[in-house]
Amino acid sequence: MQAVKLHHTALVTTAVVAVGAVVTTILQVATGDFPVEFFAFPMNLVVAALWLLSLAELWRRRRESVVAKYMLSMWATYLSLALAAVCGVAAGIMAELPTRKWWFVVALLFVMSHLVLVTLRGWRNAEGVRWRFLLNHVGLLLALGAGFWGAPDIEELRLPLVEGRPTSEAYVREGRSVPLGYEMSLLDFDAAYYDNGTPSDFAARVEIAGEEVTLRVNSPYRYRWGEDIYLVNYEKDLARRTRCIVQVVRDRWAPIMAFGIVLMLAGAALMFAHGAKRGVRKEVQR
Amino acid sequence: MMLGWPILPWATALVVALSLAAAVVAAKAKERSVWAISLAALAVVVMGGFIAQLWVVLERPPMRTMGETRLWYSFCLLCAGLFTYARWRYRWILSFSTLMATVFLLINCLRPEIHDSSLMPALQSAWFVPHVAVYMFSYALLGCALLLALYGFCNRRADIDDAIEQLLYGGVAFFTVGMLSGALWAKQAWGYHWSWDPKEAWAAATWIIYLAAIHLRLHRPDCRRIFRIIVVVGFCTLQMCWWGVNYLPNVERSVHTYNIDN
Repeated sequence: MQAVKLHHTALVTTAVVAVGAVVTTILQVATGDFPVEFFAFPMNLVVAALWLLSLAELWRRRRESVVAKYMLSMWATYLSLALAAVCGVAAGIMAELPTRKWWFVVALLFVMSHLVLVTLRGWRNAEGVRWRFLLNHVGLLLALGAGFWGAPDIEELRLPLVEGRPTSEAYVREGRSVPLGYEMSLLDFDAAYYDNGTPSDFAARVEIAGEEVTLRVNSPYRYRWGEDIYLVNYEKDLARRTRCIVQVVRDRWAPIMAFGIVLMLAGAALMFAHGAKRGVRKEVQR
Repeated sequence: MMLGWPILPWATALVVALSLAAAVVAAKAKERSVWAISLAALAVVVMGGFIAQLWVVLERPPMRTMGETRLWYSFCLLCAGLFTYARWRYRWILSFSTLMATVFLLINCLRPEIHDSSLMPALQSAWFVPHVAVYMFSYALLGCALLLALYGFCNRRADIDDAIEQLLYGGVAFFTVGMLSGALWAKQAWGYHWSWDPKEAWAAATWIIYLAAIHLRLHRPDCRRIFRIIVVVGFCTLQMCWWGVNYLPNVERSVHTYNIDN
């Protein structure tokens, strides 16, 4: 009986992978890359809400629904881990980032759906809350979720700053100029060098919306919640003046990701402190 | 008195002699040997002393170049080997950790590379030392797990997998801290916690493969062979993450290129 059941779930997993591969390939060929921009705010919130509602419905029907049963099975865990590993290796090996490919998006969505369901099932047992499990799984879910659903909302703007020329015009990566909404001007720039000519330190004194701040590498300025300003580079322009390249990153989902990361750090500490626990294994097997 | 890189061959000779003596004593002893532990601990102290004087001479943390991270790896391997022996009494683990640490030290002795003293602004951060040190310690624990897994293929002792599992929990915990401290640092330096940089991507793949081993062990402790195979595969991916990524064509879009050519 056990062998038949195992065989059955393995077959279902193979079918899920095959169907997923065919559907995402057709979508990729027919529509090109995943339309990330379409899911910018508020569309991402609407779709994320619908996704969570359908997971809640699956969870409610976990005893009768075959989909829910499969999504909560150990094979779904192995498939999620395999898909996540494939995503990592693909991003590590390919010249072009695969993050806009349909298969990549669908694979991550599967991983997150499985994570939500197993977290609902496993966050506590008869003895109480399983803190290590909870911190690790919720932390990963928040970090992954903020990266996934927040990706369409990220704005990266760059401004070349030259002394004595205040500007509020920024450029997106494609070269289009957009209004920044506040003014920035370079007051002073300073660089120090090692004997071999490589820079040891560089810093720019900048006025941002009337406030004077010093920007340097590893030391950005937080303009407001989810909007940080970085000094990324400097160069000499044609008139031999120093031009600083300043980058503005608007990512309102970043604090959620940071919170997820902190939860996972706590989970890692518990993982080291407690090690492999025999009790947990018996619990799961039962 | 001469200090810095030139004394590496002497330090290597001393460290190898001490840990070799510890390994021989441990292999011959029936019980946990205090002598083996003391000799191995002395090797750790000498190795740590060498790194400390290098840090002072270079006037920056010696963690940037591949040669420098190999020093830390040897140091962490000696620590992890000592820890594993003291905790689980595998009498041959010190032989393996000695062998691996010796290989890494010899690479540094035989290929004295140009070690320049500059540290670019991007690496001048409070995150730098913990990020690299934690990773090196996790690599060492996972290296010990690999040695046990390989040993497990030709030995039927059931408790080997328990020790591998414990090493995985420690190694993966440190790996997680290394990866996530990197993410927090990346936000501060470049604006994003995660940007699928080739090094990040390989780190994520490595992390997930080790998590697969941990999950498999939780649910199917009887699948010993597959468990050990995953541990071996995880260590191969770890090598991609550590240095293999430098030889990939997509390294051009990587921001982790401080250690290339040295």
